[in-house]
Amino acid sequence: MNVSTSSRRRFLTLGLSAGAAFAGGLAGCGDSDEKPSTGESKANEDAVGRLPQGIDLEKWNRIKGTPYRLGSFGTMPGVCQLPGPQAKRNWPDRNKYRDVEKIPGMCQLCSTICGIIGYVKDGRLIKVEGNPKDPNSRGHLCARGQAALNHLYHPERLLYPLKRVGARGEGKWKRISWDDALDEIAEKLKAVRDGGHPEEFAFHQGRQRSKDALKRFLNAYGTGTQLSHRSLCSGNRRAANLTYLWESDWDLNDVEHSRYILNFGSNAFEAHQGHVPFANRIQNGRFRNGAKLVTFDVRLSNTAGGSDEWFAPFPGTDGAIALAMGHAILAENRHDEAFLETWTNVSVEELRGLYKSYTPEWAERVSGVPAADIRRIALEFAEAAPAATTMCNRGSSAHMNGFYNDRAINLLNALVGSVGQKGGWCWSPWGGLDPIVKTPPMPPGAPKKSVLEDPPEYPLANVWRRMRVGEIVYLYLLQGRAKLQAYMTYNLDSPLTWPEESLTQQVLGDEKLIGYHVCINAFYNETAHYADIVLPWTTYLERWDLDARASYNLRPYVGLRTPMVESLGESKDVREFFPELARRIGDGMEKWYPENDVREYMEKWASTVPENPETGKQGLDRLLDEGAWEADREPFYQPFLQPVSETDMRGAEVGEDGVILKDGTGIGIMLDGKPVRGFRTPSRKFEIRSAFIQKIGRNEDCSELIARSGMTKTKSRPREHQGHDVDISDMPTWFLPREMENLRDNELVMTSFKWNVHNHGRTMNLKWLAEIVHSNPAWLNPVTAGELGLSDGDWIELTSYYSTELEHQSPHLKRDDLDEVDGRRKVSSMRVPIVTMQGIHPRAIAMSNSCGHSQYTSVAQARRQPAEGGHLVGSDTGRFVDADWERNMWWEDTSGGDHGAWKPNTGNGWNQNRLMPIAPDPISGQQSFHDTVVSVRKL
Amino acid sequence: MVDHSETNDRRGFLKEVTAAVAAGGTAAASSRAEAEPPPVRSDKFQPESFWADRMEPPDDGKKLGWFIDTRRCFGCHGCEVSCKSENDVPLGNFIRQTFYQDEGEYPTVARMFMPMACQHCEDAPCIKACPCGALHKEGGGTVAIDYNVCCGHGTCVDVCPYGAIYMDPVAKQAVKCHNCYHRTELGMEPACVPTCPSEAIYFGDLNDPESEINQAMNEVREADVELTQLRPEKQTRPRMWFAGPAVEVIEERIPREGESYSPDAYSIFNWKGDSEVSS
Repeated sequence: MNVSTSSRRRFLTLGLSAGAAFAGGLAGCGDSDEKPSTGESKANEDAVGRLPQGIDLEKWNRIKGTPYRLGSFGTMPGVCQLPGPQAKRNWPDRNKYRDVEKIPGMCQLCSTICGIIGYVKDGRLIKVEGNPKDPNSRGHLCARGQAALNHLYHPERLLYPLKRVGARGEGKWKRISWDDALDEIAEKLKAVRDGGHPEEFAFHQGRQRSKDALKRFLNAYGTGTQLSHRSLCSGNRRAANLTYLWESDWDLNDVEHSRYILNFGSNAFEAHQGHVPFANRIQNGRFRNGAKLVTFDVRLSNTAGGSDEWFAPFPGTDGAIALAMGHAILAENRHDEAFLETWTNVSVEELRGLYKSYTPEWAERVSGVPAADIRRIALEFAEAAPAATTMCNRGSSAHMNGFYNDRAINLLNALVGSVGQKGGWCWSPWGGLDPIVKTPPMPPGAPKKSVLEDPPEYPLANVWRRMRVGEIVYLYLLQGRAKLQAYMTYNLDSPLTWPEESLTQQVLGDEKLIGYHVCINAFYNETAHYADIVLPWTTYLERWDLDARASYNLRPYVGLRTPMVESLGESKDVREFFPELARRIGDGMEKWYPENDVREYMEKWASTVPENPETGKQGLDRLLDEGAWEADREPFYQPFLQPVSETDMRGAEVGEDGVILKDGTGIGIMLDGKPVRGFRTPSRKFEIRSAFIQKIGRNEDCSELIARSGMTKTKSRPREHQGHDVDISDMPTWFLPREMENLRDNELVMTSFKWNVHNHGRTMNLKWLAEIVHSNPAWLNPVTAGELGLSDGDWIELTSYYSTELEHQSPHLKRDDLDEVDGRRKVSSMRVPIVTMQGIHPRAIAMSNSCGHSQYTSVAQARRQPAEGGHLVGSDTGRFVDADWERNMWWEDTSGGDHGAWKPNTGNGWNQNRLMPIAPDPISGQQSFHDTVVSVRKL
Repeated sequence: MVDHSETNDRRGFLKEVTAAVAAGGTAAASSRAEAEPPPVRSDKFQPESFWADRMEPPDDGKKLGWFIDTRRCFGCHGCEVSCKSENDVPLGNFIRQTFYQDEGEYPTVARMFMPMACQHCEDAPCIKACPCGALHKEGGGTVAIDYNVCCGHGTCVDVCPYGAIYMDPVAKQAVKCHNCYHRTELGMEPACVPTCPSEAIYFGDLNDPESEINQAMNEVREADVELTQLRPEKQTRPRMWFAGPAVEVIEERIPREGESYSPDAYSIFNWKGDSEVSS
């Protein structure tokens, strides 16, 4: 580019500023910038006839910013060193994707587990994308997955084992070697085992995708105290599905082929365990198939906001609305008579009796949704059937009446005959990996159980599958109902994600309640803060797994996680150090680890993956090449019509009820004289009436019923639950928790939600996600705000209360530790700002549940500079320097706690679980996250 | 198909909202047009001889364009974060940004999403205004910046009608969407395209009748849905088309001449509608 000398001289003489180079909206740059001066440039233009041009190196050298300070690792994601006129480099780099390795993997930044491809160059991961060969997610990847680089290359990642040197919870640490760490842990665990109470060693997982590795270690050790977070998530949803189907706890709504999608409380566009695969198919169903999406949600989620119709029911009334819809469908005879009479265990007459009192007018009274709409939507749904399906999730099920809500909702599919139909309400017997892959032999399960893993009060928690009741663990320890000598946490963030933050912290910090705590995590989070040893775990980009989720293709598949880069620092996966720990504990544990290394184990596990005729690759090699393999099976439509083979029929007996039994186990049912599979329930039918759950609730023996179903995992254990009878209705029903009956003027129901850029407790440390959402003011309807004398942005004090319903139904929880205030038991108070939103029910108040970290790196705490404390002892902040974070982070809260000075959208929010009471549904143990009565006080 | 005539149907409600916005907008635009200088900041343009060559893309027979189906978008920010990751975009700055807007009054409320980036205008004002000649066109019409030349005048930011350019806080050079030409040259798609879980973003060669973008746009036309463009009164002939009501409803909030995408767009106090609070 040639510039005439005379024009440059003119340019320098006039000293033209850079115009609007530093436009409004760029905050936090920190450099002194020249201000725009449009008037001046216009004057110059008039003076010289045209603007100056050419490279003005002198000016650029004046205005360019101070170069980024880098650690020894070099540039981190987000640190872009654009060339500058003197550097003569290219950007974007045309060579970026040349000579790059593409390595398959599976995301783990939420529970959906989308297949991914990592682009690796010179041993560094430079980009992550969706894997088009993943049959479920089909190449798509959400914002969380795209923030993978923040997760892998983080300046405060935990890279070295730590041992506590101060008091627990003080945050004082020293680095130790893996060798010393494993020696100490082995010694402690061996002592617990030798003492005869191996169940006093509890393993507590957050999000885990290495089930085989955990089971192997814990079963070999002999502890059955394998705790999880399932009841905080999907306990009721699963229990409702299992009640109808037995075979599966997971409905897979065939939305891509639907004409009508009826959504109760699910936010699939932002969350839901099926998130990306599910949301993608919902949109395809709508825009290619003409499906209508109707959402019932207390709050306008993005799903609700993008639906074709949205209704806001009073919290917890989804089931009432669903029952009323059933009533309307039967009243107009729009039900599928044939399906109901043939394939359910009730008659249409019985159903009319059930639904009789659940009129749309009744539902309008309890929910606030107009009866005319309830009726209309119900009939639209019925008209579209069989290509019609409901969908629901925590919005409908994380309530004290959540089990019944979901039963009522799912029943609609049976009413209209869309069960198992294309475009309808489906499921699959494969909850994950295709059964063709088998792990090397596993040790048998541990016989000794703990009340922490198997609380006797919750009849449906562990009957079909082990869902457990995670949220009572710390309470039971505090009440002395169990003892823990050793506690190992794995990717868990309970102080943030468990209800009653202060109780969790109290128990975790008490060495008399938890003798020894080993925390396995990739970052120093709230749980690590209360540990005695912290082990640096690899990220999902640095380890091996075979993994899969329930697929919306209604076929199983196998996906692969493999190390994309060398593990950073000294981070290790459990697959690497559990064998070593087992060897050090000894006494037979070591014999379950015959392989030389992890790869050898993976090769054995994947060996049955068939050959791809085009590439000739098979087993692990094929998975390394393609990332996923999907079986060539028919989708699992109408499985109940599959014929039973002649071979299977040999030696079988047909009962009077048509049920086919072989050696006392059900294998099918007669249909028009032919043997078919039926449902895998005791009656071989879709069990609308469930005698089973009623008996289980009364602790009656059900072994014969279970045998007839053929579902061997289901267990009848009346002795375990002796003395704890729970009245479970055999038919779908609905009730309103009593505290909802008379809400005072300043009382609301607090609900919780997830944002599309976050999972519950593990993504707030990822800067590209935290940038988009880092704060969680409470959503309040503007009319309600007005009634309470509040304006948009005002601060309030929220006080939460324990459930009166639970006081009656679950006296064993004995919460007299909570003070009585005005006829309610107070849990906690917290001060938060409000945001007035049209999109929320007037009697509800909503806060998202991912904010308010007290640990988990400077990013999650919204601090430019790390807080004081020893938590960085295990990191390598000299090597991994995120200059982008240090220079460009813009949302730090500088108000110092002064509400009046708080700038909206700054800071890191407030932990809703400070307010959230421990509230297990008495039937399944599901944590009721959406039922909390709170009072509001203007500050 | 279901009859929506007497319902709480938000499809119908949104039609009303957008008609109202359009009616109001047209009136405002025409009165603005009379009172103000031409739609683009031509007062900042260089002489045509300076930029004519750079306005002409190399002839590879391709006509690259974008189609954003805002009806499908549900604001997951996957495209934005993929772009940030691909291009190491600094915090506080955005090559791509999706705007949210809530419309309506309880209980009839909808939320709309508007994914935004450079419009790759055929008659690009940024190319015309760039004083040092860094802005130019790559094959297919991609408007791009030569980083061996750009020295941070920022006049491009002054004249972009869509606020699509930011100045890098350290390098002090202009940055905007470059159609990921470093990827497309190798047969990959731009980073934002394949990641979209909702399949709302399409990019490709409009000269190729079989291209996915043409197929998607034809499907939309066949469904009797209008294809629109943003701020057509600017007459820059953008290469981005949209479907869905979000365009009209959210247009007002999209940055303009002299502005860049800012973190303020993510503040719930700004997109919820009817805010008394600014942030």
